[in-house]
Amino acid sequence: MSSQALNIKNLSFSFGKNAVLKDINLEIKHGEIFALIGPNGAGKSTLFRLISGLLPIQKGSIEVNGHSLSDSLSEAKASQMLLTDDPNIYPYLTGKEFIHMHASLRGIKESKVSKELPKLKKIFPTLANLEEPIGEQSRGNKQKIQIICAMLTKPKLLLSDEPIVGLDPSSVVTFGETLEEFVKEKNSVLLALHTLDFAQKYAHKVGILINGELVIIKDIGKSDLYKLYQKYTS
Amino acid sequence: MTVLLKLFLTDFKQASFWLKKHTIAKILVSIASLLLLTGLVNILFWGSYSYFWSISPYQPYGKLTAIYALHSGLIITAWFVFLSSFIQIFRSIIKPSKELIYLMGQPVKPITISLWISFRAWIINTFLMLIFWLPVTFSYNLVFGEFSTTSLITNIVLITSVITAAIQVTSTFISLIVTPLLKGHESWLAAGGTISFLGISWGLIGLVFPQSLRELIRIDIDKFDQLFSNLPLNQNWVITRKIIQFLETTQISYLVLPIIFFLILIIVGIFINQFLLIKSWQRVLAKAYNRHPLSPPIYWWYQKPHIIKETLLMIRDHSERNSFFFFLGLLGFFFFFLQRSLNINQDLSQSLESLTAFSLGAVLFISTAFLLRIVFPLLTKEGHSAWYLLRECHSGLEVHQTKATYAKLLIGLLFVLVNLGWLLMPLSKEIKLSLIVYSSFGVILLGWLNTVMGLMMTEWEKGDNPEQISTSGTGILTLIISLIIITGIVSSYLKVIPYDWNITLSVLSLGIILAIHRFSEAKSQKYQYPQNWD
Repeated sequence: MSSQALNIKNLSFSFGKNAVLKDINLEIKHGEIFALIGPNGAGKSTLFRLISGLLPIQKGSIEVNGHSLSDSLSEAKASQMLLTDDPNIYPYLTGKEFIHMHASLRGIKESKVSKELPKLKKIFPTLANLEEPIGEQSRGNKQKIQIICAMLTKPKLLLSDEPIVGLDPSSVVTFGETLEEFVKEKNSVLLALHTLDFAQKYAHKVGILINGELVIIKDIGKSDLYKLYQKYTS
Repeated sequence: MTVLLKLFLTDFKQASFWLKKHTIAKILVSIASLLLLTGLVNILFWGSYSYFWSISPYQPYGKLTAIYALHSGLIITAWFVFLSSFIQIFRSIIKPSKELIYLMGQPVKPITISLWISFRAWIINTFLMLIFWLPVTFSYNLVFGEFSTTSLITNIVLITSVITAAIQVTSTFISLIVTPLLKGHESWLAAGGTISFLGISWGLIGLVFPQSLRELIRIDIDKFDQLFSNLPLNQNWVITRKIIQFLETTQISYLVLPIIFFLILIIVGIFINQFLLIKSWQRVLAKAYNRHPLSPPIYWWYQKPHIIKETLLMIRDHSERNSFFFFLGLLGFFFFFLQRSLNINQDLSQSLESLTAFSLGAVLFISTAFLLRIVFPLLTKEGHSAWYLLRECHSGLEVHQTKATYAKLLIGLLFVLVNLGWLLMPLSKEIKLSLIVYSSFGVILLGWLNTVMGLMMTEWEKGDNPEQISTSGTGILTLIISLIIITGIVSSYLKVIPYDWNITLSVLSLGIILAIHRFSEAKSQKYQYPQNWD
């Protein structure tokens, strides 16, 4: 196993002449929850798309669990999973069907899914019926289905873009606790957030991204995230 | 009225906004579409003109036959306009647009919303009907008629507008009643809808081409009048007959009754529909949870997840399912129609080659429409879900291969249905075999072309509207190449092309498509989510 779940070196990216990410360097260790915060349009979603292989690397390098996205894309993709801020996928599939499809695509056996799924469903007692089509479910339930998928397939690195938007308060707490359990198994999490309370409570490290630049990376410890955020954004 | 005008103005602004982005590409697509339409209108005009001219010496039977053909055409196109209108309204209610949802929540009168929904559908349907109706009546008038060109065009446009409006309100009424009942049973709807469509079409063909038509060819002249006037379409209660009589005699008095009838229908229809609209929509929303009875065993997900996903999309998505069954239904309708025509006109030795060539062209054209609508958008229609596919598949090539595999299944289905259709036709074994060989080659070639062209297109933002994918620049280009292929195949069937050329052209076309295939595979390595799309 590589010593780092994510290793980004000198990463830059631009849309045409518009530089969105500038010389990003970031390391996330195994068992770490890293919160990336920053104003709207700072480049968080672009960074997530680059890490998950949805955008091409223009300059710099990204390694996920020791696998370079440029050289071993398949292995790098298999080591991570993206929870997008737009959970509106395959509205015509039921939640259960999507979970089984996802597990199948990631090489998880049916027997394991059948065994694990009832336990995972208990994480979110408020989750609506999984037999209903995803398109008919609320945003929060769509998020929960994606989270269940992540917990089922246990990627080494979980990328989660605005994961708690749409979740009810008790589910937010459950999700945070689930992440804490998830990283105990040496898995890692990279969160993009606007909710500083959540980052303060569950993340180990924080990075502030402003205008495509990672201006600070810091252990959260007892530092006040609001003050830190205001210091760099005001 | 002011609100309605504002809504139309908003639609206009939306269209202008749409045109401002990639304007040149859109203008080119519009020109290509216009050229295709012009081609279609020309085919209809020259085809009908040749037919009317060929029967014109046999008077008065030639004119009577021409009138009957016009009436049949009117009935059949009206049926298709009804279907098109029904589907458009059905879709507006069962899957309302964001604009419609917004309007429903505003203090806007139901009649305004009803008229706003119907207006666009009415414009489209009138246009579609005129594409058929204008060239055919124009050619009739050149051979038999006495109208001036301006008078004919004015009359036809007015009559067509009124007829489509009447069809529009009727189909809207039926759709408003039926849609809430169908909600929740969508998975069975497509199969039921196709069976109903084929059943009604079969009945309609029986009405338009009854068995007694066959007797008219052999009957004594003195009995002709009696038998002809007894044909179902020639009965006085058939309201469209008056319109045809107007074209025959140019006497405006024939139009009074049908126009009054249709106007009453329109006014009553609009009045009733405004009351039904909100109630139907609310009833549909109240049944929002749609359980899918056709759910595959979980085991299958672990064998062929991509195939299962694509199949479920085809079964469960309204737009995909309706289009899938519509085009296959159209194919079935054409074969029904052809079988009936061949059964009635048994002495076709002179025109059999032309008829079978036309039929081969028509079958390949319907196949192209199916392929362009169903197979071509397979990749792009991933739309907002594209990120998931690109994320989970190991490479772009894997995405390419999974889509190509599913395309092969669809092409295989079309292949079987087309050949089954030919096998059921009352034709000699030699002709059937020849048609099967030519259409098999055509379906494979067209299917392959549509697959690889579609796999080069990654405009995910069009994914929510597969019709928009099919009518994109790449879609129109694919259609044009497909039409060239169809023309080549039909020319080869008619032996217009020398035998040696056939082999050369076949190898050449296969080679070109293979090259496009390789190119699309290479392009798949660069599949990516839009850089600036949320």
